[in-house]
Amino acid sequence: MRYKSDFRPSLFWVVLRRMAKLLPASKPIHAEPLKGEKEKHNRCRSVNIRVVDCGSSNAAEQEILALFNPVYDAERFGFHLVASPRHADLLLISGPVTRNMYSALLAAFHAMPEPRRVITIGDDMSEGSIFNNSYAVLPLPDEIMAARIAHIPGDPPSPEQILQTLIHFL
Amino acid sequence: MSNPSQSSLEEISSLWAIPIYQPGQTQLHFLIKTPQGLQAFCAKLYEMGYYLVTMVANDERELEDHCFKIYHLFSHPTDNLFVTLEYSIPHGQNIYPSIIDNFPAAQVFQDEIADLFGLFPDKQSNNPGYHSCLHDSYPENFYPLRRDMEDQSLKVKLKDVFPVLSYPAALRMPEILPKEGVFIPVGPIHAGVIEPGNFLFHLGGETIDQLEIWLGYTHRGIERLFQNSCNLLDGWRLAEKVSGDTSFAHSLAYCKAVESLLRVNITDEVNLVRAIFLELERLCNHIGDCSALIHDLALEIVAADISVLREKLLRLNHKLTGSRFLRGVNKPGGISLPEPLKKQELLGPVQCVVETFMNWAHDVLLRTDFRERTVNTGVLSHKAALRLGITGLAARASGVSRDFRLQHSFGPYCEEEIRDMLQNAKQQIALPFIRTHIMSGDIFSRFVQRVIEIDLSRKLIEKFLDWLGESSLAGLCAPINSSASAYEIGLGYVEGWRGDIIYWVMKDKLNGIFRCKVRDPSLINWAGLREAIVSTIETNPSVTETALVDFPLINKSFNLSYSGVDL
Repeated sequence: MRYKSDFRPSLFWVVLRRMAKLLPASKPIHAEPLKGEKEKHNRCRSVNIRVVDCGSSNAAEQEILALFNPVYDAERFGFHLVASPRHADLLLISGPVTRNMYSALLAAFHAMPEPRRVITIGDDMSEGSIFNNSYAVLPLPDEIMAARIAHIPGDPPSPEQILQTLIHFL
Repeated sequence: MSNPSQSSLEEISSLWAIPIYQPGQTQLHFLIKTPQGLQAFCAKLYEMGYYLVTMVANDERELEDHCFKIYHLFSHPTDNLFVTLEYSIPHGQNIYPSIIDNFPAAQVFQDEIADLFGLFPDKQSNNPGYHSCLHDSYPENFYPLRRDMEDQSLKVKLKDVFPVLSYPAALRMPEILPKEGVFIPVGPIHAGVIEPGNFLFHLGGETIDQLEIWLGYTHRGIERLFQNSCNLLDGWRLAEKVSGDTSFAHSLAYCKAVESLLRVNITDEVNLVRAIFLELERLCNHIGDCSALIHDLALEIVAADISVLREKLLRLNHKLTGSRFLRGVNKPGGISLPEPLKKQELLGPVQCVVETFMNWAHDVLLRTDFRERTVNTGVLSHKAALRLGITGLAARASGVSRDFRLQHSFGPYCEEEIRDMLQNAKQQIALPFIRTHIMSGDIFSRFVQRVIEIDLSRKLIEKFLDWLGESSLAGLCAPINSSASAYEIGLGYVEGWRGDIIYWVMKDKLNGIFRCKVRDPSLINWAGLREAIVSTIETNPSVTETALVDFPLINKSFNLSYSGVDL
């Protein structure tokens, strides 16, 4: 590929390129976002997701599995479920964090290489849930809270809601 | 009501127990006098074929008897009869007589009671258990369900203890490690999107010599939350969260427990609507299970198509009730729907989905590769299923006819027509090769049992919708006058899609819950899973050993709930 830095155009080429941009419905080959505008969707990236169930009832897991059926098909956006946290970019946590799963969750999080992000799913994990009164439930560890980019509320959230949030952060 | 069974029990029991009569006619309650009496009575019950349903420990030191009590609940195999044996632990002791000689299913309840109450059986079993709510992340002598500690003091006790991860199965390795052998610990976090649990495989080559299962990772303290954060009329919200894919059946069992406690009369229409949704939940989950099982057998296109069918049903659920998992429908006293239930909204989609599914099932069941992998794999024999007290789908697939819709029926299930349909489901199915299949307890039988139940659910929904008429009312709730006195017990039981769900609820002085025991069928059926992989009860030389690669398939064929066990 020829990069922009390799190419020192003469005036002829500069003028030609400027004119090409003015043509209707034509796009230059090396498309760049216009200055000052953030890229809305980075279509080249893919996200490897590791799902950790810290104590949810099975409903959130069923909805995440439903994301990969032919109806919602999250794989076409580049989302892949991976078996090992070492392959993962994103950790999806569902359910209130129980004392029995606390260390396992931390181990999975530490196994993930940087840059790593966390998205939490479900109403069970939010502040008003009934599980916060329980002796068996702990709040999220601080480092995971720091890496958290989103919380998807819902009891459980439908696959559409999960997909919307995931695409937004793609 | 079954007079012969009741009267025979009353004759026999007079030696060992004092009968206390429950208001419901289907329940007998006996107070046991001595430990020997308990053992003798249980031996008699085992001879008569009763099943151990649950054991509930209760901290009644504040009440009139000033002791801990253990209620053993049994159900008759064919009649609608529950027997409760109440045993009081003498003051100051914490040992109670164990009934695992007669009922091996009691082991999991003993483990639970030891963890949560600190009451220990006088005899431990030789088998390793699989259920421990409190792992190493809790301190010693921490018994959360005793009533002398408040929530705040419990949390203070836990404050300085770091929640260490325990792999109990792996920690026990040094004692049982043979000289040669391969061990594979599959830790709490699994490769797929599934709930956490620990499995330790002892391998001899490719085949599994021994399997140890360790659950309890999703222990959220639900039984204590029932006591402290819910009252009687509110507890259905928590009941729905016990096991998310059987939300409706759990909340229905809870509501029935409260209704039997408060003696509320439920109208026929409410029972019909509840039965319709129960069957609908059964349909969704069986179809999802079949899709997952077929996916594991590498028939991806079929699995994808069947998962689309499940998605259609979930969307139908959302349209009818506002929730994909039928949440928020059951209330004590009745139901509440956002819109009236109309016949044509429900009937068409269900028939279409089931017909498509049956076409796929017909093709898949005849395939050689499907049969090669599933026939004679993961066999749970009839004898083992009876001995371990297995219930629900796994029992029916092993040839044990155990179905709470038949034996402990409610509402429309009491009608003769429906009972005939339930009993003859296998003979009336449209696929001829299923009619002649003998339920042997392998993966194939469990798949076939699901297919049979899907067809049966469709027929039941059609019949119930016929009886319902064009549409039902949206909110149907009977008025509740709490006419029960303090510390009364209510029992709610429902056949969910995995098996029978039991809620044992004791009311306190006001409208709160003194004790709520949740019993999901998975609590007992995990022993069946281990038995299917490593048979200890029946060593039949014609059954081959299980290869490690078949374990995910066997696990999916049972599809037991982890969070329903851990609570």
